[in-house]
Amino acid sequence: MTTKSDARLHLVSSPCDSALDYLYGELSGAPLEAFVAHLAGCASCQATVESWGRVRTAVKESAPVAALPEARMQAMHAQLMLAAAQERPMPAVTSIWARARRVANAPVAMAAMTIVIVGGAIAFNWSRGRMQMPAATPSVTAGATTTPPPPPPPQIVAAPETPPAEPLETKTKPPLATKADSDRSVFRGGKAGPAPDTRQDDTGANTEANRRAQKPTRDALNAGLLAKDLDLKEGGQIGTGHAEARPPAVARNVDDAFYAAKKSAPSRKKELSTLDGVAASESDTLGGLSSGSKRAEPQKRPAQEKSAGEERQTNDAEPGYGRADKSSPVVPKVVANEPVAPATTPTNDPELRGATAAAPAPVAEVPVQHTQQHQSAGGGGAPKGGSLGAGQGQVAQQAQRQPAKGKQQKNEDPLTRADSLADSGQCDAAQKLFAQANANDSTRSRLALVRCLRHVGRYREAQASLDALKAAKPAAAVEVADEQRSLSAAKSSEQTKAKSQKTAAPAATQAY
Amino acid sequence: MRDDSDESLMLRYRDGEVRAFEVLMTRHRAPVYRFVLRFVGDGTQAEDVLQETFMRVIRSARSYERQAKFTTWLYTIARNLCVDASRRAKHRRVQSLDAAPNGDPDGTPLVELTSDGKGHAESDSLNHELQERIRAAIDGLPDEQREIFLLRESADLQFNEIARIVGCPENTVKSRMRYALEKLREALAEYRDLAAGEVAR
Repeated sequence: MTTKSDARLHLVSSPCDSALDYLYGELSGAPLEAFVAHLAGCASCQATVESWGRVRTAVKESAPVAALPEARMQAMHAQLMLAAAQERPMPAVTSIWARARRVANAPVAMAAMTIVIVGGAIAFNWSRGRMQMPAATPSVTAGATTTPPPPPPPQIVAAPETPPAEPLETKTKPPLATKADSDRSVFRGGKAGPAPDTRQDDTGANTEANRRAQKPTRDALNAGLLAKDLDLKEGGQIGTGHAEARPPAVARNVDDAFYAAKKSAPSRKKELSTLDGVAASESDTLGGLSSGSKRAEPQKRPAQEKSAGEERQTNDAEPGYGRADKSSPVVPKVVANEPVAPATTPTNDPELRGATAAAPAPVAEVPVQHTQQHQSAGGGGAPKGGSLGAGQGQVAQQAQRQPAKGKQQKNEDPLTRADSLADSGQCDAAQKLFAQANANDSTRSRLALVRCLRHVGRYREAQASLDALKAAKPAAAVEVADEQRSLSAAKSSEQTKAKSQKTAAPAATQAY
Repeated sequence: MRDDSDESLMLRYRDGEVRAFEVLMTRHRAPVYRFVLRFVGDGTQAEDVLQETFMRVIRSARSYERQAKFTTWLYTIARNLCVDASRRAKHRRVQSLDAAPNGDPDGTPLVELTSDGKGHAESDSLNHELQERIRAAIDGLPDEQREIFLLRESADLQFNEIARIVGCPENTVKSRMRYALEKLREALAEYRDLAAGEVAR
């Protein structure tokens, strides 16, 4: 039974229509059998199949062997393989630009990248000193941004007849940087060459320099204040000082500075006059005035002050910095920080200014040859030894001067020698000398001993002496109170230091 | 990999295996080139069309899906490119049989590239005549019949595949094929008459 569709299909497609499928082999199964049966009885279909078959055979036989030349085929093959490798559709393989585009489309990633880039640039500029924090005082900022002129060689004048006028740029010099440079060049034994801008150093060096720059300056100011106070009582006179190296905003640690200042002078009167000059210069600085006129008076100082400069220069040779170490009580390292030494030769070079300030006085006594050697060392050139810097050169000079200084000291009175010993940390010897001079009971000698004990770290003894002085000399309450404050401050700082060392030690042990 | 079907090879290439594409290309480049050469009639043009065909395969591999035979897809691309090339080159049917098939002026003329590959058509004048007539008859076919005839004879595609490629019903394809065969038969019949007369003389 046939359906309508089958009948229609039968009507539309006659068996003869399958001749093409039969010729090309697209019939199979029942249709093939049906057409074969039909073909056997249909002459038309037989003729069609035969003629088309001949056409196909003729076409195949006439078809050219069309093939690309081998060279072209290989070139095309390589080209297509390259394209296939480059454009293969695997999503995992993407170009770097595609990845960059992907990252760029992510706002969070872009924000993070921006922060990293900007932060890195700021940190880099900061570390290179191109950017500066807002300064505490406008003068410091202005000085920091001022590029110092190329430093001339140190002008150490043996006997300054006409003191050179203070260059204008020295007044605008940043006090902190100036002091830091001088400290660094002198106390580290480095060459006293052109002073590097501490703000362009690495961050660590910069911080260190600033820290060091502040301390002696503060000490100097306080020393000046105390000396002025004492001098008012004892009738001292105004000396000279380096006002330009002292910032106005410093602390009031009077006693430290006084002790340090005292070391630099063999006689108390000279010292006080010098310190008073510092105070005067400092007050000028605070008032916005220049101290150049005061610094132009070094030739008026007596010869005794020059020997004090020698002592100070000897102390400058010490590699340490700051207060005297407990373990080496004789080492008067504090003198190294002494900023109140009178400037024999004003110079434009801030570093050299610090160096000459540390050892100005003996220059007048040094022969010309010696002065030249000092100049070469101070100017950054190596002395005969090769690599000795300014500080080391001064050490060598001081070693040559020691015998003369010893002879000079023998001629000093016991009180002065006792002062010197106390200044140098030899408290016991100083006490003996005070006793020999019958000054063991005086306020001055007792205070000197207390300061000596404090500076060598013998706080208990210092406190005991101070307590005894309090009881014995109620009239000296002011001096005692000052010394008590200094002693308390020294104790507290020592305790803080000890605590920090204790806390640091276990941490380091754990780290290891 | 060489025994794999075209479709699996294409899927592997879609997944990033370049070697699969190389197998596919090696397998199909010769028949595609023959079809393209017969279609456009110019060797240089055929070479360009062949390269572009495979380039399009590469570019379209990401969207390839196993819904049809690979050859259908491949010849669809080739056929479309051939149609475009034929439209651009109106002179394709006047391609001289004396010209080299690949456009090389020093190459072997197309007429000498017989199926036996011996290139001695000049020694058989009848065969040479036959080839020329057959070629002229094929080139004289209407485009719709010609492309179907070439897809059937050169690419050996089935009628249903050809129907997909050219985008018309299968019966239409068969009808066009019949017309093409009839025209070629008529051309061959004239040749046979000519050949029979020469033999009788």
